[in-house]
Amino acid sequence: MAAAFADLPLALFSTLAPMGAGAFLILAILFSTTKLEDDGVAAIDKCTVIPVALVIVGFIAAFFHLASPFHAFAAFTGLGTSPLSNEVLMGCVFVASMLVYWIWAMSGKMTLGVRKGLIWVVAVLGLAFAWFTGMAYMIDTIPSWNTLAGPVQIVGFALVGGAAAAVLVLALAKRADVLKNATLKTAVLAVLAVGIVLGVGGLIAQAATTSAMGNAVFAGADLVSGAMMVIVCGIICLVGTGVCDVFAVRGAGAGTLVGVSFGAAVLAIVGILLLRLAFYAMQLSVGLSIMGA
Amino acid sequence: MTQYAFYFNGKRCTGCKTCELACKDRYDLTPEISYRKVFEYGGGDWTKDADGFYVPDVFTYYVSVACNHCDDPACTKVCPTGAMHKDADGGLVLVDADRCIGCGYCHMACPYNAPKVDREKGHTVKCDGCAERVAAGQKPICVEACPLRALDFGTKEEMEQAHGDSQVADIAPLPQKEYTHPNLYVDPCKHAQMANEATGKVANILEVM
Repeated sequence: MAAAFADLPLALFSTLAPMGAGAFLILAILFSTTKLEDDGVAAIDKCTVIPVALVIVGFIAAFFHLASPFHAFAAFTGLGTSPLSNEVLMGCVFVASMLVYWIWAMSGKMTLGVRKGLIWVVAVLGLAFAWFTGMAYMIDTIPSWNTLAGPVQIVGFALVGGAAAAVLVLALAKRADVLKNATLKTAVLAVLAVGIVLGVGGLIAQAATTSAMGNAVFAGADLVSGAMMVIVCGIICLVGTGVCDVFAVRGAGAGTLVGVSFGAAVLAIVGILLLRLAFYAMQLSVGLSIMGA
Repeated sequence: MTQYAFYFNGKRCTGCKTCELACKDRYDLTPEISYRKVFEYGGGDWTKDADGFYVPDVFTYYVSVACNHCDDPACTKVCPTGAMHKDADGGLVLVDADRCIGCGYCHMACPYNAPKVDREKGHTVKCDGCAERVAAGQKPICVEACPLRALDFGTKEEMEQAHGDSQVADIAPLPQKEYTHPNLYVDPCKHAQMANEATGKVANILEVM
C-alpha cells in the first residue's frame, strides 16, 4: 500500500478535478428548476469559485506529476490512440467550457437562457471528463485496472464529491432556502446516493476481481488485503459525506449549514482520496511491472 | 524491415548479474535505475511419495530481462506524445527525450518493467539495445559482458539461425508472449515454467525494484 503514495499527485488529480466537475451537475439542476433573485445568483456565482478551484488544483497536481511539465502540450499527439491523450483533451475541453461559463457568469452579463444551456454543457462535459479519466487506466497489460469498474468509480466519486461541493457553494452563498426546495433536495440526495453506490460499488467490484488474480510478483489477494483498511476508512468518509449532506438539505439551520456542508466536503475529499490510493495499490500487471518501482 | 532481437540462454545463466552491472556502468545509471534486470524465479513444494517419504520439487532459475523491443509494444500504444516509438530502421523501441513529458504511462503499461521515468533527466529512460554500439557493428554491452555467453543480440533472422532451439520468450516470470510479442528468444532451462502455467514467484523483488 505504501507504494501507492508514489502516485499521490495523480490520486489528488483524480480526486479533486472530477469532484469539482460533478458540482456543476447540481448547479445545472438548480438553475433549471429554481427561480432565483439576481443577488442570489450573483452570490452563487461567486461561491462557484470552490468547484472551479478544485478542478484547477487537480490539474496543477497532475501537471507537477510530469517529469517535464513544459512539454505537456505534446500530450495531444496521441489522440485516438492513447487513452491519456483522450483524457487530456476531454479535460481541456471541460476546463475551457467551465472557465467560459464562470467568467461570463461573474461578469453579470449572462442571460438566464444562456446560463441554463451553458451550465448543462459544462455539467455533461464534466461527467464525460470523469469517465475519460477512468478510461485512461484501462490498459490491457494491467488486468486489475482493465475493467469498467474504474471509470464507474470515478463518475461515482464525481457525483458524491460534486454534490458535497455544490451544497457547500449554496451554504456559503447563504442560500439555505434553495436547498429546502423539494426538487433540488431530491436531486442532491439522488446524486449523493447514486454517487456512493457507483463509487464504492465500483471499487468493491475491482477489489473482488483483483483478489482472484496474481502474477509472479504479487498475489492480488495480498494487494487487496494491504489496501483494506484504507478502503474501509474511505467508505466511512463517503458515508459520512452522505449523512452530513442529508442533514444539510433536510434539517440544518442557517447557523449550522456552513459547518455541516464544509464537513461533508472535507469528508468527501478525504474519502475519495483514500479510495483512489486504494485503486493505485491494486495495480496488478500481467507481467513484471512493479508499482512505484 | 530489420527487427533486432535479444537471445537469452537459461541453461547457461548463473544469475551473476554481470550483464546488469555492465549496463549500469556503461550508462552511468543510478542505483534506482537498471535497464537490464536479472529476475530470480523460484517455487516448489514437498510432496509425499508412495513410500511415505517427503520429496522436494523446489526449483529456482534466473531470467535476464531488458526491453524486448516488442513487435506490439504496450509502452508505445499508451504513450500520449509519441515519444516512445519503434525505430524504423531496426525496430528498437526508443524514447524521444525532447517529446517525452515523463508521465510514467509507459512504465505502468510495460509488462517487462523496462521503461522508467528519470525525474532528474526529465524523461523516460530505458534500454535502447545499445543502438550506438550496434550501429558501429558491435553487440550491446550486456551481451559482450556476459561471462557465460548466455546473451546474444542481432536481427531476428540471425537469432533464429544461431539459436535454432530457442523460442520467443514465453516462460515465467515473463508475461505470456501474446500481450506484446517480444523480440526475445529464450533457450529455457530444464526447470523453466511456461508463463501460463507458472506456480513460482520472483524471489529477489528488492533487487529488481
